[in-house]
Amino acid sequence: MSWLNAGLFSVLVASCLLLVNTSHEARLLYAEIDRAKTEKLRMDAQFKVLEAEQQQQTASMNVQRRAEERLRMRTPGASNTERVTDRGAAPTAAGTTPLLRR
Amino acid sequence: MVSWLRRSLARMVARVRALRGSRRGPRTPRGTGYGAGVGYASSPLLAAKTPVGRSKFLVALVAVSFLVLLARAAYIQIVGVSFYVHQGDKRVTHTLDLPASRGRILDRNGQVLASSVAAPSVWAAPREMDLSAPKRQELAKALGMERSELDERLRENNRFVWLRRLLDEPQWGKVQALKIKGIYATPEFRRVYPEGASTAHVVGFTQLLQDRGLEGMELHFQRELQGQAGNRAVVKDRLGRVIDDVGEANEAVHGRDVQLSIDAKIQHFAYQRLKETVTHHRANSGSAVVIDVQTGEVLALANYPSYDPSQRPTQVDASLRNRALTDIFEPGSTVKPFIAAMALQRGQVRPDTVLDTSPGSLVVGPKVIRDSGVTKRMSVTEVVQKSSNIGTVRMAMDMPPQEMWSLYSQLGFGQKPELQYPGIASGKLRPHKTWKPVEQATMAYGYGLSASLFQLARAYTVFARDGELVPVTLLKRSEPVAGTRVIEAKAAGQVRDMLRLVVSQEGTARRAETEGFSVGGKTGTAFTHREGGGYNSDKYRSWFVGLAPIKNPRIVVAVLVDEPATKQHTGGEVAAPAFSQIVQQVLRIKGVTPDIDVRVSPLADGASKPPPAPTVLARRTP
Repeated sequence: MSWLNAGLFSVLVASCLLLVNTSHEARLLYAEIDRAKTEKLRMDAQFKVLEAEQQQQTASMNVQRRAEERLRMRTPGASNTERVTDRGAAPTAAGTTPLLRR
Repeated sequence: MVSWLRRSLARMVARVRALRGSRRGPRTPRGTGYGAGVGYASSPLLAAKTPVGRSKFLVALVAVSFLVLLARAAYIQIVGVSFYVHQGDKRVTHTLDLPASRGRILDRNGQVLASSVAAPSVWAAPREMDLSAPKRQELAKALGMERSELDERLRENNRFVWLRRLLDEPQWGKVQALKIKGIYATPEFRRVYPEGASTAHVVGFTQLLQDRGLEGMELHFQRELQGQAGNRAVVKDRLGRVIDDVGEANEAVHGRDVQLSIDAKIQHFAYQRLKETVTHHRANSGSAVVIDVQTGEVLALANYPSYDPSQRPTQVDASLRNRALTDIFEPGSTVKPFIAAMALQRGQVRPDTVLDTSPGSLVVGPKVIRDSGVTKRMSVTEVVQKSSNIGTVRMAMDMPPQEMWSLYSQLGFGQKPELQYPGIASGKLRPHKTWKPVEQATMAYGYGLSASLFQLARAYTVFARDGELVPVTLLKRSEPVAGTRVIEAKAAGQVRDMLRLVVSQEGTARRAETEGFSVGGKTGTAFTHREGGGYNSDKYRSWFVGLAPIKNPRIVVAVLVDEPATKQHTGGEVAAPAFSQIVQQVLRIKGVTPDIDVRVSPLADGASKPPPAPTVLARRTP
């Protein structure tokens, strides 16, 4: 009888230790999940910051400034457009050729 | 009690000494205590009989002690349980805030016009800090502030001080790298406006540190854009790690995105042209409106001067006003086509009906109405083309005032446009019953009533849509909408043909001609009001409102330049060139096929010499 009691007691102690260990591991894993979630939120926020920076770079004002400063591009207009005749093209009924190319 | 115990102890010691004949007490001299010393089993002290009363007393004392302990345990476990549970929770349970970001404002193509980005705000608990002088210097540098400023802030409060609000993420990284105890960050959001000044008046701006819109769309859609912060209760271990959640988390609800009808590219282009026009003519300000006539969407709504919304203007000045919507003016000649359309619809006239406009002046009541430089008789078409005041007045004076008022009213004058924007002006249109004949006459050519540039642009959609007034919106719509009929289709078409002639060699707005596209429109030049009443005879307001392509209109564009200071001051000279450039760019962006050959007036775009014809290939030159 005493052997049975001792055996049951050992099982009880072992299961208690297992329970404690399992719950400890569960908490560690939970902490890990929470850390991953926090990291995801941080990266989402970082993504938004980068997205905003990208939008800033591609904003019309920046594109125009760079086009003018670096590529020396200008808005086409009558004052800065040179017209030449394409002698090979057939004229339209209106007398001018229909081709408009930029 | 203590003295009694002492006395009892002393008596027992004396008795033991007497029994052992020894001078020392019952302590075992060395070793185990069971060896050479007193054998406890044979100790006379233990063998001595304890008085019964004393035994009972001791038993009672132990029992009472246990009862006290039981009572205390019962109190803790049953009566005061909530207090202790609360105290326990306070030590391990923490509430974490879940911040909600404000919704974005997008243009019609998804380009971001306003967005919130995470920006940590750094604070310190000075009593937890132990800063050496070099660390203090490093911290000040990482925060981007002077050492003296940092010292001053840290002296403000011992428990909590803000060090820097809305820091950049990399900057916060530098602060963290210093590993200074007592420095913390609270997650906050900063609003950024990538398109800057060009969309400032439409988008508006928010308060810097609070999620509250102050101007424009940010203000109008505050409820939709605003997010709702959440929180979650968690259990933390002694290392500060979250190891469990307590109950359901109250999730943060992020603000909704709002997509506008504005096209960022068109908006920017309109803003740039406006800026150039205002600067070139040394004008006070300028505004431009572009409306898609099929859907009623506002594609651009630009004003100059403007401001940078990221800088959060702190002073209320004129540059904050969305002039196109909030400023009202007398529209001048731009209303003449409406009178012509009404006269055509009523059967009073036909396009070729000749009106007597000679000798260039007409007396109505106490006022002499004049035409500048026009003295001959002219047809209704010519009246619109050459912007004759007298011809328009002759048509208007044949109408009942009620019908004229009804026309203006149906066009939206004197009423606030149904647009999603705060603080829109309604303009002024007096009831027809109060009109005197001279007022009816002046109202026919745009004096005596007032409207915003936006109202005027919207009114012109009746010519673009065969007499229907389109319901306008600042939100993306995409689908064509049904309009409200104001003028019969035939009359609207006839006036549209007249508007085409305004942009011709004989018209008042030759510089509105657009390369590749047929356009039509009407100029307007009005005197500005003088303080104390009357008009300034040397200060003008120049308008041009038109539509394109004329056969199948897609857009209505209105341009206003306020008080140009150069010699040129008419709508045809000042506002028409900007109209032309905006129309050309908008139609290209929208993929509209050019409907006329490329023939550009030498006057257009400021060119000094006429282009050679015929033309085939256009090549840009710097």
